[in-house]
Amino acid sequence: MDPAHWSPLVVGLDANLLLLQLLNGLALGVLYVLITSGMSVIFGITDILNFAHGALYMVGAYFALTVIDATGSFFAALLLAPLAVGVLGAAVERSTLSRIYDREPLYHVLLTFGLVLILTDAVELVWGKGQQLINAPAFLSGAVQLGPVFYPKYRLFTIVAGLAIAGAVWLAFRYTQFGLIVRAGAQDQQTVRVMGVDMARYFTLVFALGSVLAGVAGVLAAPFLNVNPSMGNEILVVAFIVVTVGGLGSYAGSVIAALVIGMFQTLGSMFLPQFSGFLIYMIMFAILLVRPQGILGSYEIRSEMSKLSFEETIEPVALTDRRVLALLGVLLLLPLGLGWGFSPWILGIVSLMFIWGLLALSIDIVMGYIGLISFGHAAFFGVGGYAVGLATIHLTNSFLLGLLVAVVVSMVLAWVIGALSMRLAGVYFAMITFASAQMIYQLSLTWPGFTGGSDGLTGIPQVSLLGVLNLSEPVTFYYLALVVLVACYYAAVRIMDSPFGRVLTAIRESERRASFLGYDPDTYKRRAFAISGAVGGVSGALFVTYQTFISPNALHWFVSGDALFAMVLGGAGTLYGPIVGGAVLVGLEQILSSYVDQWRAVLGIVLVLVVVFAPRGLVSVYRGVTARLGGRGRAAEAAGPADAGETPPGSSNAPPTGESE
Amino acid sequence: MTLLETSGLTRQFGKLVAVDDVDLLIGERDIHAVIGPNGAGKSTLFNLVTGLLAPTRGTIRFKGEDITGLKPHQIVHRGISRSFQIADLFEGLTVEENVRVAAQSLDEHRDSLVRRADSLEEPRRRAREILEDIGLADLAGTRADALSHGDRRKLEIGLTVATDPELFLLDEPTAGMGKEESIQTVRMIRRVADERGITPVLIEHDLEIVMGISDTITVLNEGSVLATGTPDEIRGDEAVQRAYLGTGGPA
Repeated sequence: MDPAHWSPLVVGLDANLLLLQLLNGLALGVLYVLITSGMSVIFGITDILNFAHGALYMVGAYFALTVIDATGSFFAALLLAPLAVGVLGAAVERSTLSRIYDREPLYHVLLTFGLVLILTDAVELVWGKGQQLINAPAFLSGAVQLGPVFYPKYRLFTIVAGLAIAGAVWLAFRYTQFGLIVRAGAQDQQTVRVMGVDMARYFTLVFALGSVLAGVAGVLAAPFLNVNPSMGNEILVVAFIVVTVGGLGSYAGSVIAALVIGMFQTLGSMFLPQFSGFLIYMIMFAILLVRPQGILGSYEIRSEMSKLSFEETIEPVALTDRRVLALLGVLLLLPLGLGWGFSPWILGIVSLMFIWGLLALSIDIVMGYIGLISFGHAAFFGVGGYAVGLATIHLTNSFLLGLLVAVVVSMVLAWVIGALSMRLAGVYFAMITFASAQMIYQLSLTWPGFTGGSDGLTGIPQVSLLGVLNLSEPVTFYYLALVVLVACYYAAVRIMDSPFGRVLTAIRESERRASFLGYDPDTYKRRAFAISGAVGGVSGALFVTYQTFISPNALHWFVSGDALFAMVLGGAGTLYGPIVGGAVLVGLEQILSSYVDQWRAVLGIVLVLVVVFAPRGLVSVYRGVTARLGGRGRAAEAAGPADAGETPPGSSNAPPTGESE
Repeated sequence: MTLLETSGLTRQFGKLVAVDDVDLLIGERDIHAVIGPNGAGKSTLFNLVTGLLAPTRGTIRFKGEDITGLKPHQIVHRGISRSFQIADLFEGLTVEENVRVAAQSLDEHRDSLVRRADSLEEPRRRAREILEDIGLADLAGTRADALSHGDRRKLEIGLTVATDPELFLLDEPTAGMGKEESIQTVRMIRRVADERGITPVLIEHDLEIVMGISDTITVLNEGSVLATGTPDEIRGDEAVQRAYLGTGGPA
């Protein structure tokens, strides 16, 4: 923008207004400090990246609501609500997280996502979906003279109270026995354990403390930010960005970053209102490019925390497997049953299963084979969908051309996001893919001229295949989706069986070793992520063709979480498992949502159970059952593509062990 | 002919100078051992040469070319490979798959998406050959994480050989082994190196073994080179005796 355009604004901007905005920025920054310090503390010691942290913040605000209703005292709420959140946090940690500390970060991330689903629905059940209001206590209402300006007393209180609490936490970590043990534990748990400290107890305490801090932030924020069940979502992405910018594991870094980002957001909405939603993402990407370890970060992800290795290798099933052929046969004949007991609606549900199977498959390509936890596949799904929608509206109603656009756009996007996210190792990848996808979600909301804003793209014309087949016709679409799914599965199996695929597996097992064999891990990761993004784009393209409508909901982070869920539900690292998982998830959703309003919470519970008890998903359950039923011979057959007809002599699948003998 | 040459190689971690102004000359087909007490900077030296760490100062030349600051995978392609003190294997893959994916890095189709990995004949043949050489052919189908300690060390060396290097740096290849096994391992290394024309550089603790097989020995102490020479010269070196042998270092 040229200066001439700016000058009236700058001249019209008096110093007082600027001071007000700086104070507002500080108030927001202090809330961010509380949120992120809680998250950092939890991560620093338990290595758990808590996706439920925003939800705990939200729960804090709602607990406050209830305490105020009961006692009429805001200060009682400020004291009791965070404590209640702390108790909740401790209970959650004891009952779920404590069972899976030794697992890969994928499971931590997923479990905390399950908690988000449960907490959000629980809050909606108890307090309702609508916006709620918490008033600041009477003596903190109104404004106070602060030098030349009048400033709301309550916000001033937030700044002071927040800084005091953050300072107290810092002092506690610095100077108490508890702090010493926690800091030592963050360095080397083994040693601390050997010295006779019951680390499990400290993990619970730390999780409770982090939850309390989230609760405090929730209560403090309630009087001047919105109280609603999705208030945690926005804060979560901010927290991730703050942690990335500040440097994970650095308390001081997070504090500085939180304050800076609070300022930037406030001042940004004043000076650059059209970009205010994106400013924080820009800061994050700038930091990633210039100083990937963050402002003060020197933290190194523990190598075991960025590694994924399966106890048992489960090879993808060949398409020529008898069971697969039988299933395909049934699916091919399914539309013939129309009018004989089921409706096109059910055919549509099965088509949706194919779409979700494809999305889960796309994640498995990166997660199951290189161990990259993408929490941003909603971006590729949504962008693929928007690409077809926009191409159909503006260019052509040819499905193949639309699909091509979707594939290219989502592939390029995935390559870029992958390249940026890879600048940091391990679980950072999940945070940055998450934030990138949220940025695109934001973009879809704030660019109404192009994307239709929150209403989405409506009135997408009928899409046709090769000019003759109308894809809004359920049977045609059904076959198209089936063909695309089978083709993508075949391609994925082939890619994983290619020399390139072998290198991916090697990188998953040990990145360092792979690089000392002459492979550049980043190159392979970027390529794999691009392939994965392209497949995700295909699923989105199918989705919009099916729905003839797309809205920002397709880009919501729950889509990313659900896709990860579907992958694990079916069986990560198997390629076919995720397809099964996607189908089952869609089925569950349809059934549950017709019986209970809180179906998301039920899914969340299923997710938690799967993570804790069946980490290799339905595939492993099936294999366990067949092994038990069929004895040795049948089990060996189920173990691999032994009946694929082209099992190479070199690939020696170890026969399944542990049978009764 | 000089294969590897470092000059003024230095690496600091904060105030600690882990490797201090090291000039190292490694001649082709020379068996070179790097010895020194714990914390002498041996592993850091290897990490610098192989690109795991960037030097604070100094240069590294390989066959006359400056390779300072290259990434590990680039250095591997120049012809240097390495093993780690704690075996770094592809735990979830079988022994054969481990070596094959290593050998695949030389194949022109190593990045192909459309071929089948099993159709690449050369990596397969080389993997089989290497497994014979290191004595793991019988365990080809075993997952790496199920191997015994000694077999893990062997596989680690197998991976190091599979990229067909001219120079390999072996970081304590006999760590954790008994005497007998150590001697066998060192013999195996020597044989493999001879057959393939690889120049080995080893970090080794057992002085008896070192004296027995090395052509040249470099002694590091507190990051700097204390002495370089033939085993006899090192044995007779007073500085070495004072700083290392005399103070009750490894027997």
